[in-house]
Amino acid sequence: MTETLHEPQTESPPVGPWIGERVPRFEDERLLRGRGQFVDDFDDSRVLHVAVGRCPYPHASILDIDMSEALAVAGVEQILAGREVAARTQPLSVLRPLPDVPRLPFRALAVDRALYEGHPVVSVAATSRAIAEDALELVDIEYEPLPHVVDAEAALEPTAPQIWDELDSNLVVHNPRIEGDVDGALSRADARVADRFAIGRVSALPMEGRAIQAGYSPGISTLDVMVSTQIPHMFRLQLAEALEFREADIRLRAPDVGGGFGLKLGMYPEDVVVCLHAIDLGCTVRWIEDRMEHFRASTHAREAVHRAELGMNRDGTIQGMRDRYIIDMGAYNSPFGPPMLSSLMFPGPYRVRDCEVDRRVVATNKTPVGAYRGYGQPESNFVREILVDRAARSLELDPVEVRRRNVLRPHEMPWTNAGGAVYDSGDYLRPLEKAIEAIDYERVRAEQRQRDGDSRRLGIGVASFVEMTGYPGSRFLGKHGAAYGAHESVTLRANRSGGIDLYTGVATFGQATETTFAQITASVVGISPDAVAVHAGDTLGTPYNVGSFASRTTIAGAGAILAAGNDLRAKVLRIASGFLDAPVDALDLLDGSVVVLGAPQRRMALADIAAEAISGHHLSANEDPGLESTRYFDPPASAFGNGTAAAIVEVDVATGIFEVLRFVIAHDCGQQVNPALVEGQLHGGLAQGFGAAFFEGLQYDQDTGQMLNGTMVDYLVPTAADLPSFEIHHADVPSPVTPLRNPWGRRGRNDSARCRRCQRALRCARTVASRDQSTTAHSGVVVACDRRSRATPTLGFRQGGSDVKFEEVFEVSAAREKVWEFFDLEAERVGMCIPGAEEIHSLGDDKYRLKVAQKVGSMGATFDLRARIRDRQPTEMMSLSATGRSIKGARGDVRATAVVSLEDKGDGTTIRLDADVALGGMIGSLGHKVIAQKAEEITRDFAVALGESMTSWTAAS
Amino acid sequence: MPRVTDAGAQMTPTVGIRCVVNGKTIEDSVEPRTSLVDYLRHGVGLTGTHVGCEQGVCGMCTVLVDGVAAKSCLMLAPQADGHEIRTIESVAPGEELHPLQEALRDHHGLQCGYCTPGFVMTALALKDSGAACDEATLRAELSGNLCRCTGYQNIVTAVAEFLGVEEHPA
Repeated sequence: MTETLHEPQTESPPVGPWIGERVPRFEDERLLRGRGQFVDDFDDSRVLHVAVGRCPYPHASILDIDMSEALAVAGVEQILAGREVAARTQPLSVLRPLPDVPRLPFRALAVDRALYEGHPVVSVAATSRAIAEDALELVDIEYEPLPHVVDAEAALEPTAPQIWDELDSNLVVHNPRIEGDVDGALSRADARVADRFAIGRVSALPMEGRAIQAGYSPGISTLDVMVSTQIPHMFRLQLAEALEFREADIRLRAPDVGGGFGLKLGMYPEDVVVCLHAIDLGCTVRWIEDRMEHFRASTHAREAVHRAELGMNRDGTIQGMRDRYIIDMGAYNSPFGPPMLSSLMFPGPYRVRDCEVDRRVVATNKTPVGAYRGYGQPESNFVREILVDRAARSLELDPVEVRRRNVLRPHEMPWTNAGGAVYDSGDYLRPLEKAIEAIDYERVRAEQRQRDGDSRRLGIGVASFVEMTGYPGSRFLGKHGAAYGAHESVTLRANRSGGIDLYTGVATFGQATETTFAQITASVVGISPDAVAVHAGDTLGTPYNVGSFASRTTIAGAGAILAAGNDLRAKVLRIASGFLDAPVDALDLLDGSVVVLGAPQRRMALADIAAEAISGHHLSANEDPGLESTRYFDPPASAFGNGTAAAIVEVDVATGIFEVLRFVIAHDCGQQVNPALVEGQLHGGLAQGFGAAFFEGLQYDQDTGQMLNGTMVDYLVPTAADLPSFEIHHADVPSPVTPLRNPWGRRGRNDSARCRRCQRALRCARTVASRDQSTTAHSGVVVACDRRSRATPTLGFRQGGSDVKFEEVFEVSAAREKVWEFFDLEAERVGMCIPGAEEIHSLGDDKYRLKVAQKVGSMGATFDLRARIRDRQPTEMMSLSATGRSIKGARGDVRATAVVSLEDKGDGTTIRLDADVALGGMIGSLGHKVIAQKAEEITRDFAVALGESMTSWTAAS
Repeated sequence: MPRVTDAGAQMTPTVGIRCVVNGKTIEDSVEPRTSLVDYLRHGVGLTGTHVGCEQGVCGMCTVLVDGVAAKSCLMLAPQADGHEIRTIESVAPGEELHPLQEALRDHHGLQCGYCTPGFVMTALALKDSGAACDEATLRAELSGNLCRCTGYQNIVTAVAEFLGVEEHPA
């Protein structure tokens, strides 16, 4: 199944003995035994726990926060709210800012206004999580829902509610780029294809959610932080900036991290709050994100609407391409913000000179988006490859032949693509041919034709891609406004046990840094990988680095290890030279010992050399003690991985049910350090792509602004039963852009193997399969499969800002004055007419507290409501408001306003009830339709009960 | 969702439980609302069993209850009374890994490792039940455990090897 096509062609330094080996992972032993140490696995016997209260509405003013009752709960130590936190901290820093965008301050807790469902509003620290959550239910927050918009296209309408005063509209930034004569090229093309592509909003969904623990002791004054992150050093800086601490006063480490995928890049609001609790209380405080929070408060990704066009000539040459797209940023610019690589990589592996890319980033009342595998590349790959297929089809050309004609060839490298990326090298035809051969393309095409007219058709999908991995240098990033560089660093230190301690700021979250770094070190220095102890992810004692993302860790890390390893090796040989009485060039370091070439009995163990270096007792006068080196490596350019994926899919024409019969990917990621790990990364990337194509997609109700599927039950991710086996073929060509200090020509592994690659090939396959049917069957199949297709977008906001408005008009036989009296004097009786009302108490001053039980759909809940009469116009009108939350059953918040107006109707009275109800939380997630129906029912029953109650009251009085 | 509470400080009513965890008999009193996984992790200190969704979907918290795989986030600790619980910590108590764990390591069946204990417990229960006989059945049996890193392929290969199930030729 795995095959390396050929040996590296270019002349490169010798590959070390452990490079390319399937070394078992050093991480596995502890993880397999359940002895890994994730943040929540550390002893918590003296730890306070935090629960965070979040805005249940997509957009709301915070009118009042009453925490008195919650503070009285035994075990509650502190409650923080927005204003205090804002006065004491700086907003979260953005690590990859959008160019030319004013700062949109992201505070740790919302101040006066919350901008998305899940926005942190208050934070409780208590002796247990359960107590903290109990207390949270007693924090009384009065919200005033504001108009919201949860659709990016709707957010650009002039009438859309504006989210940021700092901006002129909800358009955060517009980045057009035109290369060549796009209009001309498209108009000259023999075929033009264009479409709108809606890319779904997904969650990276690492199995371990976010987690942080912070400890602080007066006197020691060091904030000791453990956090599940991909970037410990940058996180420490962000924390120092937010808390206005010296960097030196924060130690930050990432213990075992249960998956990241880009979601754990940078600091989140909760992280700042947890540290504040620790500082204020002088103790250790922990917050573990639960899955409900994860869906609402950890960054989402990908959502975009692309309008793209491609022109092709009769001979299959791509003439020109255009992609104008809108990215839904959510409410804030998170530390890594919206994806940055869609425009850059839109031209893909093809020889395209005339190309337009046009990006608009839009603010909405949704959870902020952040980095996720590929950072925008899968999206544009998806769009481009679909268009290439459609153009080929319209010209009756073979889609593989079209790709052959357009992929860049080695002699054209380096190639500056029309998006601005410089492709370092590569033979893009190789993986294409390999994938085609592996899937037995011609035979499957023949079988496909034979099945014409069958109820089960075959589809064949092919997709090619280039993928940017790593960054072209720190200076490049600096020019583009990034807060970080492109380098990695290590400290290698020989120890007296004959091994090497390796210190890196890289956190280990599945990508096996402990193993790959040991393999590389072992190869450079000349020892066994298991003699290398990798100490990862602790800012204490590791050199500054950048962190794990953008498939860059091993590229940049390998360069640093090579430099430091060479330093170490040179010093080892120099020191040994004195003891072995032989010139350095007659020595070699092999298997942990320095030997004299030609006289292997004359040797000195690395342990002894290290002991001498550390004691310094017998070193020559010009040799410093110690045996260690710290080196940085800044890659001079990005390395571009590439490949082709191909899928065969069988589709039942009648039902749309399909099965992926085979999925093949041939790729070039340069020299592999450990092929098993490369394949593992590919499997994972493909699985996530499969998920995005078929299962995943966060849905929002346009009217309520609520997320509809924010639980693991409702947000489906692929299981073992859903996925095919992926067949991987390697077609590696070493990259020349890392030759000076990194001899192995490593491209980015694959972190980015990606997602859309899979999605694309499958979609192509599916579409092809369905195309071969009659038009009717075709559309049926596509609709059945395409879970993310959307209806024509409607304006996704409501001017009133409330979720459900309704009115009920009914008549009673009593005179208007009498009816008014009833409302005015017997508010409690009126309250008890609300269906499901269990009790009501007057709090004086026109305020009431009532309990109401309701069942909506399959969910039941009891609400604790505070109601208030806000206005009275005797005998004519009364207005009321109520806010509350569920205290039993399904989680949810409710806010309602109602106006009762009275009019004469003969001898009786017409009562008109105008109400406006907003529901948040799990109950709100049932969506507008269900809630509206329920509200109607409640109003109707309320009118009946009121009529009856009034009749009996009138009779009695 | 609620986690273990400090029952004493809260004067919350507790219930007594007696169960066997990894071969040891435990007598304890717990708040009735404590989930089994919270009790195992924070009460007993067995943190190898992880928490992923607290609604029985992801399988991170899979343990064996009387030999049957169960999601310990869906059980309350008092329900463990009178039962025998096995967690990941019991699988390889000595220096040597269990053959299933070895298979997972040899086939690169784990990356971040957060889901791994759940898969191990599910596969052990599967071995005892003898249910899986082909790859499709095996994949269906493993579908109550989610993994976001591996795409399952190497997990399936490792568990198939352990169970003696023949995989589909690719």
